[in-house]
Amino acid sequence: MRSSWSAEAILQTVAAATLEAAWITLAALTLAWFGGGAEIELGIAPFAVAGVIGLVVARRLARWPRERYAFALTGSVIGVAILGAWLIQVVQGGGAAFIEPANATAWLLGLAVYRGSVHGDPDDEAYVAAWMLSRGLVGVTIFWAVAALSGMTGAPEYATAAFTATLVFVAAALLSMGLARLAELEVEATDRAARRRWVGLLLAVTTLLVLIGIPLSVVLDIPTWDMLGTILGPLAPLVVALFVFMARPIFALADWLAELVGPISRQPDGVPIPTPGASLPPLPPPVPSGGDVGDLTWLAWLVLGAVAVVLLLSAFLFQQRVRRDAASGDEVREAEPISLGRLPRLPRLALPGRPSAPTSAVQAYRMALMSLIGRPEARLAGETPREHARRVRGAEIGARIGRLAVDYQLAALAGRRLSSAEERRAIARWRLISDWARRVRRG
Amino acid sequence: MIGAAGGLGLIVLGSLLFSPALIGVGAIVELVWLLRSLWTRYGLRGVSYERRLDRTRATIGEEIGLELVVRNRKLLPLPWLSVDDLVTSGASVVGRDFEPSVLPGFVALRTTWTLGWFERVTRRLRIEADRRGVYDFREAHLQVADLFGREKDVEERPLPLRYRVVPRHVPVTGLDVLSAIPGPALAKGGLFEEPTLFAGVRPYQAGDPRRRIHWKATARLGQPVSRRFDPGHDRELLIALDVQTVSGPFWLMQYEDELSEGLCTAAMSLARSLIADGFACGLAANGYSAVPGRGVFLAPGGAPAQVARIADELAGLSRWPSMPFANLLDRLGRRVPRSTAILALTSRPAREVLPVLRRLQRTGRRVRLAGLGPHGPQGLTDARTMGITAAVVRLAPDWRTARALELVG
Repeated sequence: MRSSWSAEAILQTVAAATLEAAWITLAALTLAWFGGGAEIELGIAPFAVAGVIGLVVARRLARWPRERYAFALTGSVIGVAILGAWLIQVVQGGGAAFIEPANATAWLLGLAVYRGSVHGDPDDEAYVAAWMLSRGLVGVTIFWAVAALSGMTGAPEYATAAFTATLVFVAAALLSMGLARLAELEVEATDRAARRRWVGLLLAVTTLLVLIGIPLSVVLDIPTWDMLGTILGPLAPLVVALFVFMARPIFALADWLAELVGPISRQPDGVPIPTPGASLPPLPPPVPSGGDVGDLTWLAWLVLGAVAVVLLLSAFLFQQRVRRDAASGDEVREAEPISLGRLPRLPRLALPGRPSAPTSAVQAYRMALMSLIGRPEARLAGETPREHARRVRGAEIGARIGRLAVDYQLAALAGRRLSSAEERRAIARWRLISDWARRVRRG
Repeated sequence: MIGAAGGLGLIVLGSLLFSPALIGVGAIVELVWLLRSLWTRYGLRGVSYERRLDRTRATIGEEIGLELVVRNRKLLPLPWLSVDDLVTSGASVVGRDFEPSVLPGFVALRTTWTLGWFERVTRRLRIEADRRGVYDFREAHLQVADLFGREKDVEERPLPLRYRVVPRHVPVTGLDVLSAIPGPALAKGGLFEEPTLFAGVRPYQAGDPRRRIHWKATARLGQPVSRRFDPGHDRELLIALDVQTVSGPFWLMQYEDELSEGLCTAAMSLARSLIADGFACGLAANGYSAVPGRGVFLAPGGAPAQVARIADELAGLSRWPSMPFANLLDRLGRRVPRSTAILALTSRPAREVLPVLRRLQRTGRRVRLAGLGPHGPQGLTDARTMGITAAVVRLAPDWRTARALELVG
């Protein structure tokens, strides 16, 4: 019999439980801070476990009668709360003999069980996650405003836990919503490969969000390793060990390069050149091989970065995959040429005082008239181009104005198309007229 | 929207209180808001969609390659792109089901895609040509969904494309029945002489080719004479197809699918065979087609392209009649030249059309009747009684699998 649990279902369960655990952690921090700044008793992980318990109970007992289901859920809530109170007592060294029933953190564990049960129906997960994210963001906003006003952000332990819980809340909500959308859009029904790509992109975006949070933690003066440890939980040492194991060859390469470059780079500058007859200075102490060669971590990072860029580019540029599927036919994936479109251009600045040149005979005539404004040769109101040309015929520029006026009348009034030579000559006449007007104006 | 305002409020509050924590959390909230609507805002930018067919005409039983190409020319990958191609109802794609469409007479071929940045995905599907008709692809509805939000962005792009599924054609046996139908006809007038229509001799005229001189007559008469021919025309035949397959009033729009397809297969096979034999063949039918009007008429032609034209007309022919078959024959009697022979192809009892055929025959036109289906033999008997040459058309075992069309006279 095939199991109904898939990797995506497990991921969705964990995301839903973590989503609830994150905001409950913020609530626990608020209680602890206003309760006198006591030690933080529980982190995200225990609340997430409680959430998973609630979710599993809800899914397994969903078909039970309503009363029995309510009874079982209430029992789970109380049971987990009592168990949590007992564990807190044990961890704090208070002994297991007495369980403090008024421990608020323990009852928050019970709340996590109840909230986990809300995610019992996978069909409603998209709605529940969206609701949680929209309301939760408002809650997070209020929490941080209160935290800043009450001075909680000044306490490193609280700030770290709160920031981590916020980051986890957002990441878990997005992950949960994305996975729920997958089912909502019925991706599997149409294209199975699309499902894998959807999940891949989902994880990439969520990871990116967490990665963006790391530099923010530096701004907030939160210890990054503490934050990552909280996020990754028990997996943190494993991830760090894996990273160290994978980076070992690169560090070895860096050591080798350092040894290669070391003798040259450590050539002492102040070694005097021995002169004949002078006594030799004492030799510098020998450098032990494999000793301190300086901090070359940047080199390792550089190599890592270069390899990553090369791999990314090669995967991108040379990708062409063919998938054959009886249902959906052949599918070929190829890279498209990269084009970033038009880059924004700076506005073209026009030089002041420089009039633009006309491009046609009509424009040339109008601009010529403008250059004559204020002079006796200017065209009078109510004067036709022909009358104007006749009036200024005796002036120095009269003949030119007359020819320009003819061109204007032909092009603008008669609708005749002028040849390029005629247009060119008209523009040359405008230039002569405007130069003459400028010259006369200067005296 | 609440999240966006909250994030902005946190940034402002953090700036006022000089608290980096608030600014940082505000930035995260803003980022989440941006992520939630990223795809509905920018998803369809730089996305192009193409649809190609490897050919636009297929015979029933064949397949047409359909190529769908989506390009994403931007940095933002698309995790989910759904495309609904509206296609005429009745189309069939191998391994695909159709979704209902809002457009009457159309269904939606839904495909889902995931595209990376600057990626082109080509998907090849196969269209099954299993039902005669003209199939139109209309606009494509492109839809992107947010990775984290509940919104979708929809865009409609017109991508018209058309393909035709034409009837099968099979070899025709028993052509001797048909061969008696048309023949070289004497034209009343015309510029072109028919060399087979010898009409006597005339005195030799300067410029007559030597081969035209009738040497025996010249020797007998003692002066040169040339041969004379009557004007002629091509052998023309018009297949008149009776679309009505169920007896009764034509406007009931009832039809029998098997008979309807059998008639089209028979018409296609006959036309192809006749054109191959040098006939000029045309088509007339009392059905609707893509062109507005109450009938289909294709003038006779003998060019090879005429086969494709007839196939296209038959592909678009409706399965129900647009007028009584007798009316169509009557119209043809007035429309086509008398030298054009008419072959009436029907699957119904011939009694209804025999009077019209006899009237056409009395005007000097060559008419023949071909009956398909259960009423064929009776039609043959009735036609002979009225002096009309007839034949029974057989497609055994059925029109889908028949290897030949048999004409029994």
